[in-house]
Amino acid sequence: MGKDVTNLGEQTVDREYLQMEHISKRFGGIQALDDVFFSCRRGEAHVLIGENGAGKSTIIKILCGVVARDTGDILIDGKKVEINSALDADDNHIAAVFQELSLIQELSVAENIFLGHEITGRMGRINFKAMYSEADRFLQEIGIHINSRELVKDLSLCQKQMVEIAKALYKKPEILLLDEATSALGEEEVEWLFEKIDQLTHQENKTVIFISHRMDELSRVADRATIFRDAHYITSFTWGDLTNEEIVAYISGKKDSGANVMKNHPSSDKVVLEIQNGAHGDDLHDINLKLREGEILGVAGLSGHGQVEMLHALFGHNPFDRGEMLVDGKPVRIRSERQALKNGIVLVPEDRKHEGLLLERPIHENITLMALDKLQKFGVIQGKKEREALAHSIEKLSIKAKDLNLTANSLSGGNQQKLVIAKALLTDVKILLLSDPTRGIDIGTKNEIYRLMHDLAQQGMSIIFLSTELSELILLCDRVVVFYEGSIVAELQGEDISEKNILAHAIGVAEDLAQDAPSDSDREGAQSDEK
Amino acid sequence: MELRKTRTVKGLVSTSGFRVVVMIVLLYLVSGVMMPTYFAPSHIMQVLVLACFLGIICIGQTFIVISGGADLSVAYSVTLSACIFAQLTKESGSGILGFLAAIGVAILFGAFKGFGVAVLGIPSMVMTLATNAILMSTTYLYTGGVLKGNATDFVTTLAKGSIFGIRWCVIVWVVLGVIAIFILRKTTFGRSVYAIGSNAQVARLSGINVVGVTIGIYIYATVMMAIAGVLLVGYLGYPNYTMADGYQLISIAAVVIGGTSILGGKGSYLGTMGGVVIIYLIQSILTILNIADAGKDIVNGLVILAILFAYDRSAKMRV
Repeated sequence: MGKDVTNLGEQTVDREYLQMEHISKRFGGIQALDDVFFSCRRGEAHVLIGENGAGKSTIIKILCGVVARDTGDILIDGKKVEINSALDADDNHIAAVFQELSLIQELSVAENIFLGHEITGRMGRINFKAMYSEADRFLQEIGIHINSRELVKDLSLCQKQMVEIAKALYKKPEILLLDEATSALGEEEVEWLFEKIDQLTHQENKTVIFISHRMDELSRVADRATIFRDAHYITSFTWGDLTNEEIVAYISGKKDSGANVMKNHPSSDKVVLEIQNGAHGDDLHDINLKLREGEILGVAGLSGHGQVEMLHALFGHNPFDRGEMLVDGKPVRIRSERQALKNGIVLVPEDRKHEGLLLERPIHENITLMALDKLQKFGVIQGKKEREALAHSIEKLSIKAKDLNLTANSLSGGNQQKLVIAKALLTDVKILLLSDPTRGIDIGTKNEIYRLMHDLAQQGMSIIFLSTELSELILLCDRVVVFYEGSIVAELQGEDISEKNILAHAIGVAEDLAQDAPSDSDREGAQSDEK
Repeated sequence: MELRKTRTVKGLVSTSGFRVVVMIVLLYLVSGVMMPTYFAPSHIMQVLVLACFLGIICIGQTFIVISGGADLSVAYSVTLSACIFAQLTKESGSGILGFLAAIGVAILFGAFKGFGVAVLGIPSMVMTLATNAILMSTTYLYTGGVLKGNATDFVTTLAKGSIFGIRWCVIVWVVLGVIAIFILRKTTFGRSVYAIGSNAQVARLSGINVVGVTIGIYIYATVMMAIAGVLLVGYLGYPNYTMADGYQLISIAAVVIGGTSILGGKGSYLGTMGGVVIIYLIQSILTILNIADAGKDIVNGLVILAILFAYDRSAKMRV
């Protein structure tokens, strides 16, 4: 490996158009970028690759002035530039398109494109006629078939993303940044975007830097690539010099820890939950899943590929609009959270501050909130029952609180997470849905939660465990399903649950890997399992 | 670990309940010094009689504000029920029928408000303000522009009579208040009210029937306003189109002065009772100062603003 890897810092310095040196950025306790290098050339389509949280988005955000760097220099054409705001980025002819849309919903397409530099007549009056005709002309020119008078809120998600791209292109940037800009696009539109990128780079000699998790697409447009891992710069290379397998190895860092494994739960063959052809809007399709009693089923994938949506669908928060759902072999219709709870399905949501806890309410009210129906008689809460339930929860999860009348936000992050789990466990839960329960909490509490999950599974509870940390999936799960673009593309078991396998499926290169190394046949295995 | 209240001095001083008590004592002393007869128990009872109508109205307002809303249909929720009670009682000759009709209409309009807020997602203030207009027109349509009827003897006794020197209407207020406090503290409905006001999304994800509870809140609130309306008929002797105009905004002020967060999720009815008393103590001081009615409203508004401003400051200081 590595033979063709261009070492940026040294040999190619005079040819680089944009250079970022010694860039570091910290968000509170998290190091997002650690002394990172990045550079790219004129007329180049450059892709950034890495796991979630590797630092790709932060690089893009620093370049377009959304995030201020802590240290480091940015050079354009060899000259040092200061980019501390979106205006600075404008001055340096840098434009960005993000996955989260920045369009104003109540304005028309044209007004959004011209936002901040409207075409004005005398006295600053906006010349709408000129603006609409100019916008229509421009959209026509770049090949987008949307009427510029339409309001953004009336467009589809895909069309909104197109307008977002058009808005960036209208600024005629020298450097165009695309942060997951293809995630909302359909196939035809992706094709269009790639043609546009090709035209910008190879004909107009502009620079395009983009992030995408779809490896299959990348090979079509990328000239060069840079890999990040855990906030560090790993390597840059000309596209085609590395095999997909080598890229995956760089992304994952080949780390394969053999920590004390907590899997192989005595799962019976009893299927407690089954989903057949579940689908929800554009987010989910063809979801087929079986969950057995006493098993921990992992849910993996890069963020935004439908994992969270599936948990929300199971819990009735955003129910499936097609497909069948069976609990204990019997068909059920779950259209609300209450119905899910009645069927023993409970969700521990990912965002404990906004979805899990009433931050301003006392700790004790939070713990018993989900189980009030069990603790009441004629609508009156039974004090004795509530106290017993609280004592039980606090002991079971070793929640450390001085006074249960204090508000939930007086607790540390780890203890808050325990509250959210305690809440769920007070209900008659048979199927526990955990959505990234260890995000942002300390390692000690993490281990406590792993231990608890293991114990619960051993006692016969079925757990669906969504995690963005591959190591915890490997540690705990009996099976792992991998999501890609809203459906399950692989189901891994036993030895096959490895970082390499999960990642390969999550970024959609498993087939290529299978060809490179015939021994990796998990994809075929998964498909036949599902049938 | 047990469910015990923090009983440190610092903890006590920082509670809103403490501030309410201090303010009541201060205002009482000030009014007493200015007008020594105001120290007399009879005057205290007089303040409580005036306060009890607003107090009963504020039961509803407290529930709605805790749930994250604000009811701007107080004026005609009270007036319509009062008019229905008086007129139907006269026409049918049955006070009970009049009372039940007034409550029934309140349930109907309460459900209407709750439906708009919970199901249609209309902001509470907008929904209730619109409902107030509907209620007003309904009042005029029902009465045909001519007010008919008056209070029954029973209701007059309830509003004006007394037992052992304590006025019946004050007893009614206390009974209804204790029930409200019990509902908020000890029932699943009460917990749900706080949960919805604190974070409706969390409430929903915790399996609380947000739509049902919200509609329940508005029904309960409107029924309390109807009861206040019937009592007011007893106090005034007959209904009157503008009898409740003054309660509209002052009811929200009383709730907030009582320590309930205007943002929802925090508060108590006991605090609101204190807030109501504070408002009438301020008014009695303004009466001593002999300020004309229009000027009184200005001073009243400014004093309330000053109190809320001070609250806001102390809330910030504690963070």
